[in-house]
Amino acid sequence: MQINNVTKQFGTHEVLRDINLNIPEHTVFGFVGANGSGKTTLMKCMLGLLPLTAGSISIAGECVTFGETRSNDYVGYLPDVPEFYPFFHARQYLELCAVITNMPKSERMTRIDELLELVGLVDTKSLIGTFSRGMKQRLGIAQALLNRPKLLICDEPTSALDPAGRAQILSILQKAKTETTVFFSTHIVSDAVQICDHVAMLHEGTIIFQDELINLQQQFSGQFIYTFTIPATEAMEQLQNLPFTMRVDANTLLVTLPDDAARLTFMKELTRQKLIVQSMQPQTKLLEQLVLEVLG
Amino acid sequence: MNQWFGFFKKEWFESVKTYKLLLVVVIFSILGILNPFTAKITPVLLEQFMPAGTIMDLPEPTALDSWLQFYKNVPQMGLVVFILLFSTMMSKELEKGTLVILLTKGLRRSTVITTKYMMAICYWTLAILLSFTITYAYTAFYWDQSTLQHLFFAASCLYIFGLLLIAVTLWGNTYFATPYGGILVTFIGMIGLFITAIFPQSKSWNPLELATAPPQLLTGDLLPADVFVSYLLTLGLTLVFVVLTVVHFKRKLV
Repeated sequence: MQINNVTKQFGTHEVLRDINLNIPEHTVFGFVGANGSGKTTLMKCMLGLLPLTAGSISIAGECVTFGETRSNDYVGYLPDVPEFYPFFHARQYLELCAVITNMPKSERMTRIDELLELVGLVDTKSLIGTFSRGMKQRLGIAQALLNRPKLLICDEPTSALDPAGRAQILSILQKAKTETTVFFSTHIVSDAVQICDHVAMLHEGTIIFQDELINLQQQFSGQFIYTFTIPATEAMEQLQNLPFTMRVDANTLLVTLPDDAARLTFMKELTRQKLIVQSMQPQTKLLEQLVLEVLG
Repeated sequence: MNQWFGFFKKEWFESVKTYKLLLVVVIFSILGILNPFTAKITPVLLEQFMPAGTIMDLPEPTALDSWLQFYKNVPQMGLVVFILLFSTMMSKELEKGTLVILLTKGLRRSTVITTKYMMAICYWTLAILLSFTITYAYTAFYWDQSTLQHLFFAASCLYIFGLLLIAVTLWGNTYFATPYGGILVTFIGMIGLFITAIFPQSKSWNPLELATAPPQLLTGDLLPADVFVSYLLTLGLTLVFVVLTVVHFKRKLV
């Protein structure tokens, strides 16, 4: 999927400004941003539900147009609050979706069984009207995967779920990666860190950063957080002759030790200075930090 | 089963589950029974409630009285209830967002409008058939109907007028996307037709004639040719409103 210079205005209010994104196949692409940053608007533009003010979007080589767009043949969509017909059972709803996507009759039952099994609704006999939020979300994923889409677009699929529900959805999305590309938006950064290969962050209508998650982590790799039996400021004073970047943050010492040699040197110096380490851990919540920095 | 029939089946299922079928059958059956019953009972009631000693010379009720009740009750009560029942055809889906997933799955927007309109037509047909058949059979039981003229054509006039009102309701409901949008537009439309009817020149083409002319058609005071232009214009307007709804919905943000 390619998003080229997309701008979207509602009246004079610019919601998206010059967005460029390239989503590689068979990856999980996390689209991070605060509420109201424009994530849902971009997704609706990708589905042809909103017209673009400028720019273009193409999915599997098909240009997205407003209204009825052929690019949707390759897309599965899970809205943030999926709404279904309450008088249907899960299977009946999926049958309706199968008819609408013109799925051959011979394939329908097998595919529906497969998906109900995947999302854990195969034994559910109740009407959709009685479903919990988590069950609706799972049915939403099932319908989105029904026509084996090349791109699965999920709008905040975990935002209103309890921890167990979130874990289930994330696990399903991870499994879905084998047969499709997953593009999901979230404001829960830990969800993105858990399953994403690529991450982009939208802030005030523009993309602040986009990269592979591993690259983002490497930018900060080599950072370690130390706590000592003495205040971190005192420890830093004793270690100030070392050639490493150090700073104190909330009584912890953040040290950048890019390689093994640097780490050994630092440990020797700690011993020499008789500094007793209380705890030491590599910097891990990097994406969260980046997001917090951006949001101020 | 293709997309159109698939969605039409969903519409049918929904209407049954939300008791539309039951309500239409019950209401229009009652109206069907009520028409000849009211015609038969009215003179008896009048005699009962008149002060003692009052001499009344009421003519015996006839088949025409029964059908006059039909053309009073069905448009005034039946059609109003029918419009209310089908006044949220689109707004309910648009407000809840139930169409979003299906539209992104490739459901054609024209399919949404045409299936909903077709379902409403089916129900209106059922309603008129039920009410007409019961009135016809019950009236035939009491009176001779051979003196009545253009019985079926007169009923078709009311039927066609109903199709127009349903189309207007669907357009209003889609355009404003609120439950009251459709009703409001239909109400304003009806007021417009009544105002137009003040001018005698409009009699030859006003769609409202289809709702008011049937009694005169039954007595032979009017001939089908006299409402021919209204008939065609109503059919044309119905088509225009359905097309307008499709065109509008194709550009609507959902």
